[in-house]
Amino acid sequence: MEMIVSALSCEAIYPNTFICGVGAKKLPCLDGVDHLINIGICAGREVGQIFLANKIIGEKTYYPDVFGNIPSRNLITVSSPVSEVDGDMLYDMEASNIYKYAQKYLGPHQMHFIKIVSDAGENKLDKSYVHDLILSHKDKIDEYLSSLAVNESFEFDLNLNKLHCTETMKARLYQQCKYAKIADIDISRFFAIEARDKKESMQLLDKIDKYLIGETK
Amino acid sequence: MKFNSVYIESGAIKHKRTSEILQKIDYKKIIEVDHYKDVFCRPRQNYYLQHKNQNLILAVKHDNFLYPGAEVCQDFGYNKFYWCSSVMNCICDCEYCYLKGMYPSGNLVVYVNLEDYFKNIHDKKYICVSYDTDLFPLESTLGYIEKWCDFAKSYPDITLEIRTKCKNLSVWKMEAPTNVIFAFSVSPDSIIKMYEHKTSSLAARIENFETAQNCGFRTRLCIDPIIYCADWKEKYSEMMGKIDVSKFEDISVGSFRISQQYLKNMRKYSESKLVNFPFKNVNGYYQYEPELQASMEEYVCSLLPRNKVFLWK
Repeated sequence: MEMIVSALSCEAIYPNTFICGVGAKKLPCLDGVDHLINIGICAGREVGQIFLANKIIGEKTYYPDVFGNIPSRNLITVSSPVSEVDGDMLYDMEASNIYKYAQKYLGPHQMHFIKIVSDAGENKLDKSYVHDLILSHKDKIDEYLSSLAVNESFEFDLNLNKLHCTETMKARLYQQCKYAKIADIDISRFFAIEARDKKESMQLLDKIDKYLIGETK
Repeated sequence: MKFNSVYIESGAIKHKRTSEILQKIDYKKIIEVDHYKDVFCRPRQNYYLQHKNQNLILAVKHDNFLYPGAEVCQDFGYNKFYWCSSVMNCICDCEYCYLKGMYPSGNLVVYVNLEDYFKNIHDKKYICVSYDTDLFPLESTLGYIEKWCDFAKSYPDITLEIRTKCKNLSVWKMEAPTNVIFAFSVSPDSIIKMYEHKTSSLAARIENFETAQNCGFRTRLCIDPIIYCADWKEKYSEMMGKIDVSKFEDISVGSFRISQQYLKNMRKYSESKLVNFPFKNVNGYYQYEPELQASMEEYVCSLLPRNKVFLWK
């Protein structure tokens, strides 16, 4: 699941965008979220261009992973709008706070800071200008979002009531099911077997191992 | 050689080797970092995703230039066996590689101050210098193999081992040092194609070690790890039919084994058939079922002159 976060509603070009406010004062629950994408404007010299932040400098410095074809820049998160910009540095008011919060849930490959340069330090921006500016990069953002990998979890419908597994044995059974799926080996016939106690469950797991090895191409 | 971004540690920015490396590679962006661990050791990284889009990190090593060899490593009869990593991670992509479970990041780290290693390790006896990488495909960019060999020539009491799965014939143009052993890992072609991505084919590896031998370099053959497949006997027998073992100093043999924690880390992200194979956990190390392991190792050893074989403990 993707969570898109923008500071202002005029920056939101996708439905269900979470509006976190200037400075990212409120942030969403990230349970079950695969990717957090912060989309918004920033200050910088290259007005009109779209970038990914590769280094976010705030109270601390963070390094989100950068993939794909959108060029990347360093970004400073400031507490009030800047009136001057320096070199190819970008300036926003949210990224550092968002990273600080989201890193408790997500890895650096799951946090993406897409910034469109709106100005070189002018403080008053028209809402429709901001919206149209971000919208003008929608194709690139769409392409980027569609490239994000989702970690597919393996789920198996196992009737564990028929077995007497410890947690370690359950983990082993899960691993056996995962291998069977990857190696395209049908082990469903083992799930009809009932084990009376832990010892018999262990014997069953050993049998599955032997079967998997024997069936491996 | 192409990288997406190059992270450079502040202490490495002005190092001469940093600019030399940057001149030889393609990259999109330089990102300055205070310490390489700020990037390399971030929590919750996805090694596999990073390895697909590998970045380069240039850093300076300050301490821990050497590590004692682990239990599952072959020591070739040396009591004091050490390894060191002037480069961490590899541009090859072997699905079973323990680096994928050991390191938090799939990015490539190069320590630019190689000469500081030389100052700190010259009193040791036997050092593997490429356990955490394959220096061969990096040689045109780093030149570290040649530098390690020059170092070895100055310290005749040291023996170095440099291991590879990649062909690079330009390495053999230098004068052969007497105290450096080049170790060549081989696998049947079907295993290479299935699991050892971005490495050289068996034919290319054979050409590589035969050239080394003809140029007078000391060589070791590594049939390690032996990987199980349904027709493993035929595959390993066929492979050994192509290799003249007489010119190798010794031969390292061992079936696949890996620490429990490393495999657990790898299984979080990997859908590799090999990584997810039902291995047996024996004292904290995953390996093949003892019977299967013994039969694979015994069979491979039966194809070799036993007096040259080092079988892992």
